[in-house]
Amino acid sequence: MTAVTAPAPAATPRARKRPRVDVRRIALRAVVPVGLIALWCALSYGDVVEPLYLPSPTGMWEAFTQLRPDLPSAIATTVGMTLTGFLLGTVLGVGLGLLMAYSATARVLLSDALDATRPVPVFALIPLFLLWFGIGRGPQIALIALGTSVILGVTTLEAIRNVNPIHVRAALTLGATRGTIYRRVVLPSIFPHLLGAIRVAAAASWGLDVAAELIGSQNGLGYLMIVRQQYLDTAGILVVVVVYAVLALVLDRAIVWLERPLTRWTHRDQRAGVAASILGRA
Amino acid sequence: MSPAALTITDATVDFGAGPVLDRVSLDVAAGEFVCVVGASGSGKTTLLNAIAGLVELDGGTVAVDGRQVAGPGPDRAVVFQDDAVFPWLTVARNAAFGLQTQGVAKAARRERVAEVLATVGLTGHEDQWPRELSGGMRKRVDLARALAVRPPVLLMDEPYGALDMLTKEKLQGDLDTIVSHEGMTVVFVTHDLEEAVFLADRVVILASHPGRVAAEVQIPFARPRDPELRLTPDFQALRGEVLHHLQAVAGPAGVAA
Repeated sequence: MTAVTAPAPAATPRARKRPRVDVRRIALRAVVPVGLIALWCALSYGDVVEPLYLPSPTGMWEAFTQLRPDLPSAIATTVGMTLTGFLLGTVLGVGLGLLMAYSATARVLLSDALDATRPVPVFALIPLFLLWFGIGRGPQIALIALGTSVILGVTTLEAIRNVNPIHVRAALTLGATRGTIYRRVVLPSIFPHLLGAIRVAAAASWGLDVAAELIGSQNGLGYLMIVRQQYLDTAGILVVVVVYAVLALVLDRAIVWLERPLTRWTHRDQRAGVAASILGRA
Repeated sequence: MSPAALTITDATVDFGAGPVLDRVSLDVAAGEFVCVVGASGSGKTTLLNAIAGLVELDGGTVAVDGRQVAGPGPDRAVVFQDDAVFPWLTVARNAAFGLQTQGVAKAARRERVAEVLATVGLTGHEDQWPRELSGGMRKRVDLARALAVRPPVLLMDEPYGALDMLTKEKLQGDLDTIVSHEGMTVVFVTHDLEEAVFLADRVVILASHPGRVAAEVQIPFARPRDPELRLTPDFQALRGEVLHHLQAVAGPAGVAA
């Protein structure tokens, strides 16, 4: 074996300059949120808009303390239902996508049906779900799972279609079988795309949960919202909205945190915002 | 000459609009380095893909060490023109890919990877991600991955086409050193005549529409070669000879020298 001289090691991208504290930038970022809160206070405390339409911050705090005894069980119900539906839908959607990518028979069998049902808005199926499955947790979870699985099934197939052919050809010339290519080329290739879709589906699953709870539930955040609506308690509704937002944010962050070690190889960190940094310097 | 490591007999490929390759025959001796040049559309990449088994032949045969082959396999490992390094694997795992598909045991795999990374000059970069490497270094990973499986025939499709001149000359020199010492059999497609004459024992000129062997030029310099060889009159004379063959079959407009 002959060795050729090693080129100098590439500069590690980890050694980045520590960002300076940019006062102007921080001030600029604060403008919109602070302005909105100021506007909110002015409109609500100044009696410009009635509390029925826009409750004040203190009104919301009161609504929160009033709702607090009901919140833990409502959150537990909603989180349980949303996560169950989301996980079922993810497994179903990714599973179908992977199956259709692997087997031509499955593709022929399923692709027309999937293409035909994809444009149907899931929410439009709510009356049918009520008719078929009645009221209760089962149909609500099914609705969330269905919506999630459609998003992920379609993305999985799309991601597999976009696998770089050069990688498949390289694997073939190195003696890889169809199964090996599937496991060691296709799956890692589509992974980053899948994780993006999983985040979208997770966000959508909260919306699906609200819709599912509106069609008839006896517990949960969505149900709480209907009840507050019947009392014309706008502040209470807003409190529930905020709780939903926090839950969605927590789930999203959790997914990002879980995916990190699996997508270290992607360019995301290095290349993030290249276009924006060129176009929007000002 | 030693017995043929690679025998192409009457290879014909037709994608439906007339033959892209028309009864191409070529014998490559064991340890021989053959460069295939030709104008765009001469089917040189198709020829390489046909040898690799990535393009099906409509006629003729390809044999490695006398055994006829069909479909791709590690006996004809390929270094592609495009970046084919797996971005989700580290340098070492990329190099190990073919060994793993061949079922080589872990300890032997690790040993071979270390050896082959040393050969291409990537020792110390084992755990880096491809995105952390320059284009030239990624080409070294591609080469290491192909060399790792000890292919009887190594196929290379304009591997250095996208690199700057200095990187390219460095990689050409390294490749020359490696394959000469290992006595490897190589088929190398390029449109860069200087590259062809510098690397090859024999340059094969393809004519276009349909692709067929038009001429061959023997390059008598001993390998491995000194980079300075490029500046000698003998070298330039051979380069001119190849160019003239190419012009004769393609017309000057079709030549990228």
